[in-house]
Amino acid sequence: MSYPQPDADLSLLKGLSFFRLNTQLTSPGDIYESPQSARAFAVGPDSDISKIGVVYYDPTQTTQMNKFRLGPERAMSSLFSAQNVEPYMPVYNPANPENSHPGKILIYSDDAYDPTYRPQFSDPADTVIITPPRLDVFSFFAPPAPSVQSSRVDKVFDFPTVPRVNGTNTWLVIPFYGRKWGQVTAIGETGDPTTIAVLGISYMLSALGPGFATGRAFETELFPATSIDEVNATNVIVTAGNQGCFDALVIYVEGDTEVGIPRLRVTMSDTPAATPGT
Amino acid sequence: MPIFPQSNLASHPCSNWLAIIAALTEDMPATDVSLEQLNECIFDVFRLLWITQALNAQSPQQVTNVQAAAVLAAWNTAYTATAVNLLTAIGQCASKLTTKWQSDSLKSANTDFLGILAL
Repeated sequence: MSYPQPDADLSLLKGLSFFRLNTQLTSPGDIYESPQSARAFAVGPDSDISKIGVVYYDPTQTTQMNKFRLGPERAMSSLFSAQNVEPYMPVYNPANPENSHPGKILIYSDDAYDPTYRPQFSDPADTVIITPPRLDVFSFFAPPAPSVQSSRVDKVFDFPTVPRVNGTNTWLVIPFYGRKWGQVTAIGETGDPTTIAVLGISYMLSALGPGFATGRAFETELFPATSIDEVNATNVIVTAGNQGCFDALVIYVEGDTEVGIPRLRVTMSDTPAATPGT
Repeated sequence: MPIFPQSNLASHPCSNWLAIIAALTEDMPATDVSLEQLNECIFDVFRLLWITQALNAQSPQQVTNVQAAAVLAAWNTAYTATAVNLLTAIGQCASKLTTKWQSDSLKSANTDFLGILAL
């Protein structure tokens, strides 16, 4: 969690018509607050997170608290109150301001994320590089134009050279939450074929209990370990319709110092492939 | 005196999760808690433990050692656990809360947890 967290008051004072929370997650428990009421919420274009939890003050509830999940399919437009005096859960906060929790708007990632994740078949010496997911959300102070979209850009992760420690395999973990389409493009180094593999994973928090290794996930092989050459690029296409939905794509890159370092590009979109089955 | 007072800005991430867990607990029936509420509770407590751990481990600390120890002690007492540190508690989260749910004591365990932290 970036700290101090972005300040919604400052956005208002500086004349912006919105508060933009755009930050990388540092832990699964990151949570942000805004003391400013909002007229609409929308997922920001740079967000990797697709499900964003929003908590707001609702006097019709016995707990004074209500929540919804914001997604890239549609913006949420209405008046969402933030209360800086009236508390959430007055039943637990009788007249003690130190115990009270003012009804500010709370924002967090509702997608699972595990920074301790290690691929099941990785060697302890292997290098696992996790790209922390980015949370990007807009909170509008005034009613936005009816055409406001809650949509994410088609994102590209480029690896001109795969970072790795000599002699160890590298596992790249790229956030893929809710994406409908993805493509991993790889090409080997001249004269030195390299082996890569691609997995799709969904974090498995329930497996953190006794008997399970910390950092387990549901892992699905999307592209088996295969040697790639330097002439023709290898393309692995992932679609929600064919392979399913994943929290992240994991790309294995062989680490033998005798082999070349491949070049990788990962592209993803919320738009399903134009032609079903591709 | 709450462990995470509102007057301390650095306490807000943890106290915000406590407020969410408190609201969820208030909405729970004493027995026959739904599976949906159990799952939501697991995720919320999991996130509270994670943010406590993360903000305690970072430099400069945003959660003090005293606060982190209080959360761990409350966790061990309320959920009858034996975690020696917060990472272990995170690892136990799903199974311990499910055990409380199976014995129809999830709401009371949550209430104990919040009470020990003087919410």
